[in-house]
Amino acid sequence: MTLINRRNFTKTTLLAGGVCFFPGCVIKSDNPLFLFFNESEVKTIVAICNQIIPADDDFGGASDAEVVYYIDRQLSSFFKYDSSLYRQSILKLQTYCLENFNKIFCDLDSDKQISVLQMMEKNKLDNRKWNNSSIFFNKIRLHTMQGFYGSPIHGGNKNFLSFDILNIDGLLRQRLESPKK
Amino acid sequence: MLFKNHVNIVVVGSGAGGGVVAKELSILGYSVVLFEKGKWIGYSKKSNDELSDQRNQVLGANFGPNIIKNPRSVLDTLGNETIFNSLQGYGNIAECVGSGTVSYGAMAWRFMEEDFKMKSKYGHVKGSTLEDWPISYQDLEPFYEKAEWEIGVSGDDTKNPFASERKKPYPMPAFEINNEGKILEKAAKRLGWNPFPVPMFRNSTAYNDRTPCMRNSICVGNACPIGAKNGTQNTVIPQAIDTGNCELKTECVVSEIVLDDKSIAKGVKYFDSSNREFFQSSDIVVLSASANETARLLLNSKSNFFPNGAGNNNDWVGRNLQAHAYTGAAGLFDYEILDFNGPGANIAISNFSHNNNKIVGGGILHNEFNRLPYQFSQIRPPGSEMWGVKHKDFQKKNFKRVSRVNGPIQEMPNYHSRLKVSEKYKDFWGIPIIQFSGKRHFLDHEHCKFLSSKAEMLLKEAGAIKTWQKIGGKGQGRGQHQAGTARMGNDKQTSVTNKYGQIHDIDNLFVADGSLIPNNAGFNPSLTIMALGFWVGNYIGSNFKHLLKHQA
Repeated sequence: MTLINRRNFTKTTLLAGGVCFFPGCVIKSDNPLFLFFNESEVKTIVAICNQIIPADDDFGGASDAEVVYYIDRQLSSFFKYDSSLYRQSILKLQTYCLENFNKIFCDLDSDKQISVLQMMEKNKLDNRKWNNSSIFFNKIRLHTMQGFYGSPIHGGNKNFLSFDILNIDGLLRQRLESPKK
Repeated sequence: MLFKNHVNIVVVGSGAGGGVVAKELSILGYSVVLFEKGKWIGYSKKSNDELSDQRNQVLGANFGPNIIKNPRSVLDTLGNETIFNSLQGYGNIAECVGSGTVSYGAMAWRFMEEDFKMKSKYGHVKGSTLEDWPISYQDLEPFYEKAEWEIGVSGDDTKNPFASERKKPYPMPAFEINNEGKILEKAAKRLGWNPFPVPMFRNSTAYNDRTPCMRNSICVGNACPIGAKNGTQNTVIPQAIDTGNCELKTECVVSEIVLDDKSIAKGVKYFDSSNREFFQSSDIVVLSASANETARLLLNSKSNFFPNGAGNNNDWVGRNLQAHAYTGAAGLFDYEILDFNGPGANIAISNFSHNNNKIVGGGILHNEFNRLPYQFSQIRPPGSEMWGVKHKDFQKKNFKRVSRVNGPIQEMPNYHSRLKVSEKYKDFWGIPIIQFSGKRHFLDHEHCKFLSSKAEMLLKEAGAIKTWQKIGGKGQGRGQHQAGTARMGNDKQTSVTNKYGQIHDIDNLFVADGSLIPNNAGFNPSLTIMALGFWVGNYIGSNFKHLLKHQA
């Protein structure tokens, strides 16, 4: 199995060609490959997702499963009502990181990213400027799990990566692989 | 508005109750129109998608309802009304031919004798409208039997000493117990309990020209790929249509029961799939649209005699809304306890359904149906990491090592847990929507603690290296297994229908679904709803001419 690091992931997706699944959507992205996220948002989301489900010695993580596509698609359709929460939260996160570390989130080292996310989860990031960061964190945590462990028909779980990780086989594997777009 | 040819019977809703009533009356030669808001939805390319199956509904629900067209609202204690769609804590019931019986888990429980006389057995419960049913288990027993044989149930309750007496055995033998079930069965016996196989609306052998189950483990929330799971859509509804007397009208939304000044139902107004409005006249109207939608339809049908909605002059329509609080425990084993041999849930314990110290009623316990990847990402012992390296490791290592035991608790019905129709909001067709208010009785959560402790005890005895409880019973019960909103009773002042499901003071308007159930027992209710369908259908069929006399 080839592991794709963050930078290569973005490159891969740039080459993959963009598909607009919901042509009528109001929210537009400035990146033709994505329906909602712009390029810098993609980098941030990919970095967060990779901490929520990291790659390990045996198996890839969120970016290998292309979870960002799942989130991007749902924010343009089923989860449209969460799209402004995402956009504002990413901005707040970047502001926090720049003010405190002079770097944007995805340029922090991994341990630092984890500690920032842990504080987000506990609502302790900076209560004066962002007193409800846990709401966003919990959303992206669940959305990442959905994109990683759900069916690839919605984007994410590329090549059934999570089914390999969970060692799902037999009839259950057949069934879980059966949904089609 | 366009007018349709008069028929004998209109049935609204083609789920567990309505499908049965339509068949019972059409085989007697009566002309029947069976309305269904949804369409035929079977096994499809969308089946087995965890994120849109009927149980998880992260991205819509494969079996309906439509997300946009069917909003509901909640009235909070401060009087604020909040509107929401069907993905947001809605109280869903499927919207398709067969309704929930297509995608259900398909446990086929009979309620127990005690469930029909809760007030006599336990006395008045403060803050609850707990009541005896106007009919007994013995009254309903022949209709339970009909439901088991006509729909098709596999089971064996000879090992369950708490089962109420039956005249005839199940039509099919019980399913073979899977690995997890066998381990829990042995543990339950060591505890002195009486484990037995879960009765299922599934074919353990070929039955009525339908094939045996293939032991798929994820058919709860999905349709069966080979038709071995039995609902009204593959049994009584095709039978009804085959008589030539029953017209099934799909994608038709009934908006109102039309009443005249003498308290007679003249028929129903509905919108067809092109949103054209029609009037369908009939001799008799039967409502089987689920506890939420049947009550809504009654409340939206006003006349001079019923200014607050049909059958609602005593303000009982929509009250006593119950569902089922689920409660239980999970246990982590140091080996792979799951073998994914379907249908999943297959060992049950009824030792805690009744006669528990300080508990009113109780509930059944059983092992859980399925294990799915996303669902499992949220199943963790308290205090666990919910993301990151440790979360992924737990997921990887323990996907097949966690067993769950749970069940539905008998909820205490209460007057304030209710639905009304909104004065402010309407749906896609301009029909006032359901507005929920109130919450569960405080005892429900206490009772859940009791049942969860028993589930945990079982998992510990079975050898789990770590166990934890998940305790339900807070908030409002409004979702799966919804019941109680048009309760049957002998006293007109405190019920909506008589014991035959006939609305008080409207002789030709009936209810045949979960709305009738005064208290929802500690069991999944679909077999009871089907039995009530046979009970009400039998009454209408036997008294049809008599019922018409009143209309002259």
